Amino acid sequence: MKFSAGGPGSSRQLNMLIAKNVEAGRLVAGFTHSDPGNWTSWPPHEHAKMLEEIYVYFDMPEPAYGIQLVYNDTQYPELVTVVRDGDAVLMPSGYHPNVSVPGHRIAFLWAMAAHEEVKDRQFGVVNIQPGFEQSGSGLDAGRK
Amino acid sequence: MKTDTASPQEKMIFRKTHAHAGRHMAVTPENSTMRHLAYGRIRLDAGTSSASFSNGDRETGLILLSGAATVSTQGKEFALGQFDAMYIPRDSNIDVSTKSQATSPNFPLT
Repeated sequence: MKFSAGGPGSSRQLNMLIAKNVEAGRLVAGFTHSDPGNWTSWPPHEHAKMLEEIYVYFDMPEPAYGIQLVYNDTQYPELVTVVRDGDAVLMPSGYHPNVSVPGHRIAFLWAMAAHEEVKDRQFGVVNIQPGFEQSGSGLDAGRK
Repeated sequence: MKTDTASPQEKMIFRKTHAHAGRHMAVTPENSTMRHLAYGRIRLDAGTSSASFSNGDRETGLILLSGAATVSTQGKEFALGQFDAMYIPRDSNIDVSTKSQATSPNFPLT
């Protein structure tokens, strides 16, 4: 299942590969690529009570890079780092938006594991960072 | 803020996970904060044209990033092209091979 998400500045394409089309215990996986210079995983969302996640960046030939954030409190991020092709970032908890540089997209595989088998294996059930809820998570298409 | 020099338990970024030929696991619950999730990559070419493994108590997702590959599991063969994905249940023997070049990250899970 493919769908577009986000508004100006956060336009991206999501591809759900292992989701509701598969009866699995824990695993959910797919990939996302942004429009050049855009953010993804925006508005910031988190799902630490149900799912842990890994991002793996791909199809980002040099000199492309992105910036990945992971934080529970914006002021004191657990991680702010430059990510390039082949890097993997772990998200045991926290909001995890990222951004591409102008002229280059950020592309990444995402994989999640449900803490509680089957019950927690839900896509798009997320908590949006307070203050950024106005336009929804952008992920609702993936819940159906 | 965590950095690359943080202890393995606190490490949040793993660099250049695509640099190894054959099958290479980069992240597991044993070397990271992940409770269940593991991530590795299979990179095949003429020199290393196949990789076999058993997934034990981990579910496995295979996502083909580029090239073409054949996956054999549970007595069946599947031909995968770019961005094709497979879900393989626990307790499976899996063989991934290519006649061309393929690079597949996989996400075995406990």
